[in-house]
Amino acid sequence: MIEISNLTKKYHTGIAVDGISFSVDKGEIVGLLGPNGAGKSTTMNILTGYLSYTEGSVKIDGLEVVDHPKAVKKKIGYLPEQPPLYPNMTVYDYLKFVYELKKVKGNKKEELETLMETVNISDMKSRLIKNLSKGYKQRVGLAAAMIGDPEILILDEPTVGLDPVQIIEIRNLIKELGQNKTVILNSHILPEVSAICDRIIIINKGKIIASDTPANLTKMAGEDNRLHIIVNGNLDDIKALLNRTDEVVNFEVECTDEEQMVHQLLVGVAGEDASAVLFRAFEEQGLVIRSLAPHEVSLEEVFVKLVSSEEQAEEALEKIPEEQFEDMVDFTQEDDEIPFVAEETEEEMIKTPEETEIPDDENGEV
Amino acid sequence: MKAIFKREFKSYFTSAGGYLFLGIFLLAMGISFVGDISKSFTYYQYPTTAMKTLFRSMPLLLSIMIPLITMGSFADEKKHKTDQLLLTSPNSVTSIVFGKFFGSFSFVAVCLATTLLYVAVFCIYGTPNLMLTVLAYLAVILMAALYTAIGIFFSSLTESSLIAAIIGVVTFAVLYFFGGFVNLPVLPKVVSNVLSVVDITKYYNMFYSELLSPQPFVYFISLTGLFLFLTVRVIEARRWK
Repeated sequence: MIEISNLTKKYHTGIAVDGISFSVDKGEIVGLLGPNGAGKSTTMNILTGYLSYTEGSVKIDGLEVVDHPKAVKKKIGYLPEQPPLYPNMTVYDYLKFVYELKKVKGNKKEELETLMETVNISDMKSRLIKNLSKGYKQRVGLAAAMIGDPEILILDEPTVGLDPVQIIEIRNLIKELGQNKTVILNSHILPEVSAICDRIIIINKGKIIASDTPANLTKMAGEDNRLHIIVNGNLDDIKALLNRTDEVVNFEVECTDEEQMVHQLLVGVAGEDASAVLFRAFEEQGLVIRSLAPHEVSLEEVFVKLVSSEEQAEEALEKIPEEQFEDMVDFTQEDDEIPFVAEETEEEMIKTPEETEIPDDENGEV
Repeated sequence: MKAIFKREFKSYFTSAGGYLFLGIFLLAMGISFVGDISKSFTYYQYPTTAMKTLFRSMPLLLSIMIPLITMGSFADEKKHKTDQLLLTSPNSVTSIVFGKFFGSFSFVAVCLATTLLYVAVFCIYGTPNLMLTVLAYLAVILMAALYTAIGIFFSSLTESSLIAAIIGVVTFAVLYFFGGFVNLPVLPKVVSNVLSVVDITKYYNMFYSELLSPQPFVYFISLTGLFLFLTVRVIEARRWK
């Protein structure tokens, strides 16, 4: 459905997107993730034909965006970062305008009414857009993107400014849409991306550093042998117990309630039945375990790990002594486009993140 | 193009600005009209048939009025990021520019149409030279089209509608007063020949001469086309930055 290969976008200030390639199948929901300025919005703007690109190719349904702009744009519904709304128009007039702008043929009134119900803005129909709250504006933008039932939806931070109930509504809506549409969305909210998306593409500094299912990305962060334990009792007793148990590698007290004598701990363990051993040990000491659960690696951690491992790779490269460096790198290339060396390092790191040299204590603190 | 035209045209009537503008325009036209009538009474003791003051004051009035109408054309789109909606819709940049142009130009035309009331008054109380009146309107309309195209072009260059308006008013004012400098005897002939090309008022006044040539038509229409083309290029170039 969407095929991007070797896409590069250079501004005179630098490179926004640096040779990224990925493809999205029909009916897939893909999340783009990355720090600010990583190139996510630029990629989206290129996909929708708003921006051109310096190199590479972007094909939608086999059609190159640059060569068939009209045909491609008809297939895409786009909600940019800032919804493109005219403040002096009413919601209905605006949607009617977008309907005509997209040259949609059909029962205008009926379709727009249904759409307004879907995103829950029917009450705001005759309000001026400038008087709407941010959440409503966002939903009007989403409705506009959905006009004409496009096959592909590109949503740049679709849930920004919505309240928690609306966020759940919109998430469910996107999931529902994703059943027969291709959706690419971009978000800073990692749990959101992992809840909605079939696949996540992590972009940093214009390059793809990982692309996989949320579950696999979590695995990629490495085996996590940590337990969250909430326990009742004297903190010193608990510490003493943990210190003498062989299965415990390290631990930290996350929070503690002195009055109720309740403590929350994050315990790094080794061995398969460590939790059972700990459970028995606590019981024998008369310490009551309120909760014991494996620590789940969040996408934040994966994200931070991937991004920081990339930075470390770059730093490592900078630290290489010059003579050695000259052997490795052909200096006829430009400095900032250095090297195959960097790319190799990067790839290796992505494939086997457990091998990356991230200090243990840092790992533990995340 | 139709959707953009409709929205653009309607936008002047969905804000107080459009009405305020129309009001001020009518006031200025009314004063000119009263001037026409009072003059004709003073000099000839009976109402004449020409709306000379009105049409003479038109180039200056258009110079101030049109930049105010077109200032937001593309500048506001950029400011509100609505250009993203337009440029990602299945419409070519050319049709977007034309939609915008006809939207603004139609509003100018509506303003101008209100002065037909004065023609009606003249027709009732006198015998105006209809041929001259039609030519005068043609001149005003062609000039308005050119100024609208230039105004839209300026608007496409910036994100601030205020800056677009200022550049427009200043440019048109310079062009308006240009005529006085073109024929200065101190200027070499070559220079004054070159300068006379941009002397819009000269071409405007050609419509009032006894012998009408196609020259002013070609002048206004081709320049209007040129500025619309330049606007398309500016917007397309933005994608490649």
